[in-house]
Amino acid sequence: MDLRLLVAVAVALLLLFLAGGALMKKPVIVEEPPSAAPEILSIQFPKEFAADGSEAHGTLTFQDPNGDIVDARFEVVEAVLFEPFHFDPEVQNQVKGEFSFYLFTVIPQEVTLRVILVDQAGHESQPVEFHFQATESTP
Amino acid sequence: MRSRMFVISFMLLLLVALTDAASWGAQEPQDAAPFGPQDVFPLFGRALQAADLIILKDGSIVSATIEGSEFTLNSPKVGEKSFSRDQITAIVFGDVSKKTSDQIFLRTGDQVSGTLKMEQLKAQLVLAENASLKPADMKAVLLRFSAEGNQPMHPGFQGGFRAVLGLFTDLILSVTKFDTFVFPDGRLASVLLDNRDQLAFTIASSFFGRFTFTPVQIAWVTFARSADQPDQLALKNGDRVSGPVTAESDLTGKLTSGGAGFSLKKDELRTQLRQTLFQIPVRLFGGGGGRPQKPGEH
Repeated sequence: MDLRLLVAVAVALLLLFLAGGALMKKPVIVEEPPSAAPEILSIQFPKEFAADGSEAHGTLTFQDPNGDIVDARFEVVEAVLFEPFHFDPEVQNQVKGEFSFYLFTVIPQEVTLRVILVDQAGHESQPVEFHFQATESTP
Repeated sequence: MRSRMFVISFMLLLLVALTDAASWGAQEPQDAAPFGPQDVFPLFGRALQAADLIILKDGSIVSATIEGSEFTLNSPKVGEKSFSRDQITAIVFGDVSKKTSDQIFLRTGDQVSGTLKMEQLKAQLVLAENASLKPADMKAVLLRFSAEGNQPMHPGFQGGFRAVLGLFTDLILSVTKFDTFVFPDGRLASVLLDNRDQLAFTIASSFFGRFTFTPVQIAWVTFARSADQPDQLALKNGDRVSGPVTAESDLTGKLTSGGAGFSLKKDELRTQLRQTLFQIPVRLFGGGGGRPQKPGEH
């Protein structure tokens, strides 16, 4: 009796061991969370404006799942003389919205800018470029 | 009772005096307007009225007196033709890499393209002796503008000068890329200063006291034309201060166009220079910014 019990326990333990090992080998599928990076939906800006130092205004529409955009970076892709810049658009807690920006120049030129949004965690949006012509101002 | 009234009156007077003294520091500086392109553009007009102006391939500029009374161009359309100095606004040298030919811009607004008959350009450069420049080293030459019988100079280059608006942009680029000397007669020169990081200028403002700034901070220094006027120092952040300006050391260096070096004694700067520009910020001529959302605005 004791021997049969011992054999039964041993078999049970073996089966448990085998089952546990199989379970441990089962691949664990980790689902990746949705991207937390901001996204630029659109940029509205005049195709051309006067190169007389006056400001031309534009609007950028965005969406951000975390609502924590902290920086809008404008990089110069092509220009004769144009300074890159960046600023905090102050759109905290907005998962979707828009903000305004302005550009100016006193040099007639064609300019291409690249815009990137950055959130608090450092995630960057895909860059979006836009192009405009600063035309000679009539004296 | 009378002594108490005296003490109270004295305290009130003291309070008024202290309040008035505190307001002294809050007074606006003499020249509060931030500097802008309007301070830079007239420099080029004055330079062109003083002398010829050479734009080099590296983007630097130098005022000069160019030898020669006429320039000859071999044009596919009109053949070989000579133009006198008085007819010419500017000469733009071709670029082999860009496959562009030489161009002469005339004061009539016409433009002729072809090949210049010029092996080298002889000129007396400001701050240097006679020099010979190769066309390959130059981007363009703007000839001295004489107002006799011509339209008055305009920063927008009216009339025959509109064709050379692109060169105007090169002039702007030069002051953002290089340090620039402006001489009392209006002539300009891009310069490479020795020991630039050790240079310093001290200004004694009657409002703010004495301050010392470096070329990294300074946009330009303007020396007064007369002893009864203050010097002016404009910073790259837009601030402007008036008062006597002294350099802490001599200015030594060389023209970007090469040649012999120069040395200006710190005590003689105001007689030898009208202004010193230290790489004017690009943002002065083009840039942008944001319009933060107003509270509750979405």
